Amino acid sequence: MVLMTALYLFLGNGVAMAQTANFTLDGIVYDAESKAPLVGAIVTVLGKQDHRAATDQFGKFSIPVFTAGPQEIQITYLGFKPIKVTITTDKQATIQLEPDEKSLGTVEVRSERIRSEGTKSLSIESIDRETISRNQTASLGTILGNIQGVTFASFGSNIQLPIIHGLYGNRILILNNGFKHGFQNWGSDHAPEIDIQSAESISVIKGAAAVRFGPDALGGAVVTESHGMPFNSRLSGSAVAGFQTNGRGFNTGLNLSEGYENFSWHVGGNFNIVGDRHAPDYMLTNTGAREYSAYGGAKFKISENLIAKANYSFMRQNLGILRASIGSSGAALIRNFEADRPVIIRDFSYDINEPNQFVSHHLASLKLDWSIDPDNHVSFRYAFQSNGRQEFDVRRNADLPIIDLTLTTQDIQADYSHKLSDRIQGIVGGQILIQSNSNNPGTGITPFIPNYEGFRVSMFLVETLQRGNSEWELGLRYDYERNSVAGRERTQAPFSDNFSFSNFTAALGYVAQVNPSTTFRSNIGTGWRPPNMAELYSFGQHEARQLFGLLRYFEDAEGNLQNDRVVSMAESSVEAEQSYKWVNELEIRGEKGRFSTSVYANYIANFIFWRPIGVVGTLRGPMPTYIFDQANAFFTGVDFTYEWQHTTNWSSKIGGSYIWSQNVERNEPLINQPPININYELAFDKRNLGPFDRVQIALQPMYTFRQFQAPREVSIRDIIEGNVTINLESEIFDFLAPPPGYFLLNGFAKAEKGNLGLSLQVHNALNTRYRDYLNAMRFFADDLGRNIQLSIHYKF
Amino acid sequence: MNKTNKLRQLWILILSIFVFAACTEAEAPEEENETEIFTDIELIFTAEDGTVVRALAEDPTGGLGINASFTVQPITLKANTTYTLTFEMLNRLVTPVEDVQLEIAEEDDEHQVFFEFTTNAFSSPTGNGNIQNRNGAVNYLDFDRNGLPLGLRTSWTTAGPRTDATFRVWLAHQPGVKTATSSAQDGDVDWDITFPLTIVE
Repeated sequence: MVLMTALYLFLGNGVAMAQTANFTLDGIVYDAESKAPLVGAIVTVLGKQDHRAATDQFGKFSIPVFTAGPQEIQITYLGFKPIKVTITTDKQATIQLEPDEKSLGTVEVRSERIRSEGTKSLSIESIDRETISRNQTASLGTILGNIQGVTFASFGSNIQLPIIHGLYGNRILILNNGFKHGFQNWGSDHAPEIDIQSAESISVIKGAAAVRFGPDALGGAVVTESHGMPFNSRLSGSAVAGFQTNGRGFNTGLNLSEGYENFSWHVGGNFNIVGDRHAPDYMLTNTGAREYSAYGGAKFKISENLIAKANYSFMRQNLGILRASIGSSGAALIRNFEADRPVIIRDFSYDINEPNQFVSHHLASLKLDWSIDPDNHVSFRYAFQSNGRQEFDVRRNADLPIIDLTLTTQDIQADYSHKLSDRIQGIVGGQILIQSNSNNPGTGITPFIPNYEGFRVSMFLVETLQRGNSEWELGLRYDYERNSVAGRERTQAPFSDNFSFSNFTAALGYVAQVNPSTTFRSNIGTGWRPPNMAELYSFGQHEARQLFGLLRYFEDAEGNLQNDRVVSMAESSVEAEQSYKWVNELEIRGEKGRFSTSVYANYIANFIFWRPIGVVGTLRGPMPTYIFDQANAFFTGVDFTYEWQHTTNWSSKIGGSYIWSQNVERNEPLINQPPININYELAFDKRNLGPFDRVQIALQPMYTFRQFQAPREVSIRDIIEGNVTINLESEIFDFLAPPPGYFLLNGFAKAEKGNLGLSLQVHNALNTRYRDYLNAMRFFADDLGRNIQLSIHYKF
Repeated sequence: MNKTNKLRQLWILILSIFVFAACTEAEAPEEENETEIFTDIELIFTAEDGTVVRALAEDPTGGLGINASFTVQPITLKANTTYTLTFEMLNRLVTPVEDVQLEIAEEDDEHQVFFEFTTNAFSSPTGNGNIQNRNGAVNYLDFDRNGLPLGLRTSWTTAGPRTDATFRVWLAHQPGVKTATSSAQDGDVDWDITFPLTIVE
C-alpha cells in the first residue's frame, strides 16, 4: 500500500499542474467511541499541504482535487490519534478516529464528543483529563464548581454536591459511565461515591436533559466518561503521588491500559488519606477522610461491527464531619450555633470519629455496541450497583450507626440510533430501572427512610432534522414508575404503601450555525420528577435536628401539625415536580477568543424543598425542626465565559453566573440558592521553557457575593424565648443570615519534562477567613484556610 | 437460527425481570428499640424521715412529635429539711420499658448531673448551683470510677419557705471530656429540665 500511495503521489504531482480541480474527496469523520461526528477535524491530502479542509458540523469534508482515484489523506483532531487512510474520489468515505488517551484534549473537543442525540441543543461544558488529574483529591462537586453556572453545596470539607442553575440533589442526574449513579441521593449531606480520577472527562449538561436521560435529569446531568480503552495501543499508564498541607493529606494513584487488535484493558486505583483540616484560625476537628477506589475494564471486538465492554468500579470512603456541627441535644446545638468559634477544637489528628459516614459503592456494567452500518447503531447496556451507607452520630449509642442502608440498583438500557435520510437522524430507546432499598437492623432508632422497591420503565425518541445551517431536535419520552414502600411508624407499628407516577416529557431544540464562528442553541423542554423517598418519608432526629417528610406530618382540624401516623400517598396532596425550562446559548469562537453565554428560565410546579418550621421542646432541650414542603418556584439566570489569547503564551478567562429564584406561590425567596460569583484566570503556557518541555502557571482570583436573596433570619433563641411564632403559614426563614461576600485567590503551576510532571496547586492563597453560604458548616465554623497541594505525575 | 434463539432468550430474561420487579412488595424494616429516648424523668426527694416527694417531667413522644412538648410537675418541699435526691429515667417507647439510668451508671465516667436553683433556696448547698459557675457548691453523694462527682445521688437541705423558686437539672454527656474542671458547657446535653420549686412550712 505504501508503494501504491507513493506512486499515486508521484503521479498526482506530475499532472496536477495542468488541471483544474474536477474531482472531490468526500467523507465523514466520526469518533470511534461515541460514534458522534467530529466537527472541525483537519483533513489534509498527503503531499499537498494546500489541499486541506476542516470537517463541518456534521463531520463531513469535501476537498477538490485534480485527479480521480484513490489518494492518501491524513486526518488530525486534537484529542484523537492522527490517522492516514486512502480514499477514492467521488465516493463518500467513513473514517473513525480513536481517542488519544495521552493527548491533552481541550474542553471544547470533549464537549463535542458527548453531544449525543437529545442534547445537541443544550448547553454543555466539560472538564478534561488534564484538569481532573491536576485536582487529585477533588470531589466531583468541587471540580464541577469550575464551570460557570455550576456551583456546589457542601456539608463540610468532605461532602459536596453539584448545583446546576440552582438545582441540586436528585434533580441532577449523575451518569457514571452511562448509568444513573444509584446512591442515597437525598439531603445535602450525601455526595456521589465516584472517584473522579477514574474518569476520562466529566461533562455538565445545563438544562432539562430529561427527555434523553429521564426524570432524574430535571435540572441537568453530570456525565462522567471512563477510560476509552482504545485498541492497538501499547502498554501505557500513569502514576501519581501527592501531598497537601491543609489536613496533611497524602494521595497516590495508578492507571494502566493496553490495547491489542481485538482486545483492550484498563485498570486503576487511588488512595487518599487526609487528617483534620484547618480554617485560618483554628483546627476543624474531625474533618479527615479516607478514600480507596479500584476500577478496571475490558473491551472486546467480537466482530468488526460488534464491540463488548465490561467495567467494574469500587469505592470506599470514611468521611469525617465537623465535630462541632452536632450536639446530642438541641441545647448543645444552640450553643454550637451561637459560638463564634467551633465549641470543640482539638489538636490535629488523622482519626475519624463520630459524626462520620462510611460508604461503599460497587458498579459492574456490560455494554454491547452493534454497528449495523455506519449510520445505524444498536446499543445494549446493563449495570448492577450496590451502595452501602452507614452514618454515625454523636449519641449515647455512638457505636451503632444511626443510618444503615443498602441500596441495589439494576439498570437495563437499549437504544437504536438511526439515520432515516440525509437530513433526519435520531435515537429511540428504552430503559428499565429497578431499585431496592433496605434498612439493616440495629440502629436503635425508627428508620430515617423506609424500605422500598422501585421500578421504572421508560421509552424515548429523539429525532433531528437538518435544514441548511440549522438543526431542529424533537424529543418525546414516557416514564412509568411504581413504588412499594414499607417502614415503621414512630410507635414502631409497620406501615406500607404502594403508589405509581407516570408522565410524558417533551423537548424541542434548535441549533443554528449563524456563521462559521457563531452558534446559537435554544432548547425548550418539560421535565418531571416524582418525589423521592426521603422527601416523602424522612423521619427523626439526625445530626441534631429533626426532619419530617411530606407524608410524615399533616395539619389537623385546628391547624396544628401532627405526626401520629404516616399519611398514605392517595390521601395526601403530594404531587410530582413538573418543570418547564428554556435555555438559550450563544457561542462565538474567534481566532483569539471564545465567548459563550447562556440565559435560562425555569418554572417548576410543586418544587420540593425543606425548611425550618420551628423549635420543639423536648426533655433533651429545644430541637430545631425542619419539614419538607412544596411550592411553585421560578428560576432565571445567566452564565457567561469569555476566553481570549493575549499572546502565544498568555491567555485570560473571565466568567460569572447570576441566578434569581423565587417561590412564586408565596412570593418569598427560596433557601440555599447560589449567590453571584465572578471569577478570572490569567494563564501562562509555554512549551520548551528552560529545562522543561512545558510550563503552565495560572492565577485564579474569584469573588463570591453575599446572597442577598436569602430568607430572613430568625434565631433559635428567638423562637425558644417566644419572640417569634412559627407555623406553616409563616414566611420562610433561616437560623442565620447569609455570610458576607468574600474574595479568594487560587492558583496553580505545572512543569513537565519527558515523562515527569510536577504540579503545585494553591487554594485560598491569602488564607482568607470566609464562610460559604452553601456550606452547611457555615453555621459552626469558618471554611478552609490555605491549602498547598504538590503532586508528581509520571506518564509512560 | 441460533442467533434468533439467543435473542429470544434475552427477551424472555428481560421480560421476567420486568414482571418480577414490577410486582415486588417491600417488606417493613425490623422493629427497632428506640435507645436514645427519655420519656419520663422523675426527681425523687427522700427526706430523712422517709417522706418521699416526686416531680415528674414527661414527654410521651420522646421528643419525636412534630409538635412535641413535655409536662413538668412542680416540686413541693418542706422548709429546713434535708432530702436525698435520686432519679428515675425511663424510656417508655420500648417494650419492656427501659431504665436508662442503668446505662448512665455504667458509663459513670462520661456523665455528670449539674444543678441550678434560685439563689439561697437551700441552706446547703448555698449559692445557685454549678451550671452557671462549675465551682458552685452541690452536695454530691456518688462518684465515678475516677473519683469525680456523678450526681445520681445528691443531698439538699431546704432554707425557709418560698413559692417562686426554680430547680434546673442538667445531665451532661461528656465522653472523653469529663475532668475535674469540666463544666455543664462541655460535651453534650442528655436532658435539661427546669422544675418550679415551692418550699412550704
